[in-house]
Amino acid sequence: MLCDNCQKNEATIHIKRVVEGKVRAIHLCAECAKEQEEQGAVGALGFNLAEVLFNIAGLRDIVPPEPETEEETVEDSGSDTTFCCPDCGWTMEKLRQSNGKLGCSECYRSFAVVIHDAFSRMQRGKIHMGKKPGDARPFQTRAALQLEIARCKKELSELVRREEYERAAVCRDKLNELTFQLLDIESQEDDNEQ
Amino acid sequence: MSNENLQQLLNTPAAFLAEPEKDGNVAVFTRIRLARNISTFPFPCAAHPEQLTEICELVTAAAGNCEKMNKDGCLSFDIAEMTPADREILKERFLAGKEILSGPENCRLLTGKDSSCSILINDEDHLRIQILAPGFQLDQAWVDTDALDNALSAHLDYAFDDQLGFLTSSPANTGTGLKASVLLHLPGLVMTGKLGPTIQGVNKLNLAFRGLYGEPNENPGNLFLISNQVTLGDSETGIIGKLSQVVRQLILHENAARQLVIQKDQAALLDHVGRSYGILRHGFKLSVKEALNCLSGLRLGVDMKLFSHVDMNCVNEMFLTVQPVHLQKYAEKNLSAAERDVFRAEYCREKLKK
Repeated sequence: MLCDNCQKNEATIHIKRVVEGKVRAIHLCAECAKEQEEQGAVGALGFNLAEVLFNIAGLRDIVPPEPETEEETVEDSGSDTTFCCPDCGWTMEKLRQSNGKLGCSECYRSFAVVIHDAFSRMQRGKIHMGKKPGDARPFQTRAALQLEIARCKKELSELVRREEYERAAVCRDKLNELTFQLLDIESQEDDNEQ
Repeated sequence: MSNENLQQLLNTPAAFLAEPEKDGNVAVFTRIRLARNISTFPFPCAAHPEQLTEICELVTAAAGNCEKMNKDGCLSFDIAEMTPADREILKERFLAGKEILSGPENCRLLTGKDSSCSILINDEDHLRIQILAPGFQLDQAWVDTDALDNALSAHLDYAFDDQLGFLTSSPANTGTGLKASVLLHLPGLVMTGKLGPTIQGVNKLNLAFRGLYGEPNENPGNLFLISNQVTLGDSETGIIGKLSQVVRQLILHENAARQLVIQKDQAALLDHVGRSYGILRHGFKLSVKEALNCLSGLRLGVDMKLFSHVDMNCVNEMFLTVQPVHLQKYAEKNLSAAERDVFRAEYCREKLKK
């Protein structure tokens, strides 16, 4: 397949873009991709984060906005203020200009609609499974544990299906341990409620 | 002040380029970075200059209390006060990215003299904690990074959310804020034409794979950096474990490819190594590209134990020193592109003398 841009070299980089709700495939050779990357059209990871975010924002008519944002839209008629962080004043425009960067911690709430969709494309999940500040152990909230248990169950059935019984036994032990941890957290929460 | 510090940095051998106990023939170094922010301030892109100054001082003070940062003396660089060439030195040494080249205000680098642990303040995030270790040592590097992160968090209140983890300026780093990478020398895969399928395979696993000095299909030196892309939805050890598995496979494949080349056409391989050494040892004009390609050949020869007077550490250091700005510092004067090529050849001849 030839490069869409120069029509000379073999295309080695294939990018899918969402334009006005339709998926468009772009095929580029290494040279043209590099040129576009320098111009900011394509990011180092093969996609431009700002564009990914903005394309999703373009779809927000299809994705129902969260109730809070809806209220704001009614109050503010200006389109730019629809997404504006009350803490740092970061806007959708700034998000776009800075290649998808956020202004402060509060922006994660202000731009929640856009960001959570980006997470489902870029990340493995939407829940933090790692450490918390100052603690090397994996972070164990109820949500993180539930997710890990579901993942473990899936892995266990896959291992049994493939008849890898030694690894399945290790996985079963891990599953038991996680289930106990979850029960622990739940009983603690019950105690707190009482 | 920065000038003196830079001289100290250049005079101290970079610990991450040393020859590791194992896998050093393929793996050059391991790098782990953590992105962190302080909860009470906006991220650097939205913060006021006064806030950035305050962040700089807070982090510097916190780092001053960390034993790891001060083991052999900590060097501090205020990026805005440095010359463009000096900033480039930090980039060539893997201590900062290209963002520092424009000289952002209130951006500061704190680093140990041997470059193995460093903190970049007010770059994309308030802190970018970095550990560099020789060879393929992801597990050990994570233990060190985690310890430094914990020590810093005793003095700094990180921006953290129960659901989303560590909050970073770019959603591409949210969660663990972890970017782990291994630099691999893959001449065998390049020579056997197996690099293309390897890149496709690695990309499918949600990992980033790029040539260090160019596009994968035109990458002088045959050095490749492989890193994780996912930071949310998996734990640090999970991310590192998955990356380790792939790196281990790549090392196995690279070693097998080298064996294949030896079996298929030993004379051609020896010729490639011999010519590379010949150009470096006896050349009088060397461009960066040619130097990097010859160093790749020489590195292969060192792995095959063909040179008794050259070791991996020496070749790894040469990869760094033949870069334009490092070479200029080494020459202690400004050189034009043509003069650089002549001096580069002189440096290589001198370095490979018996």
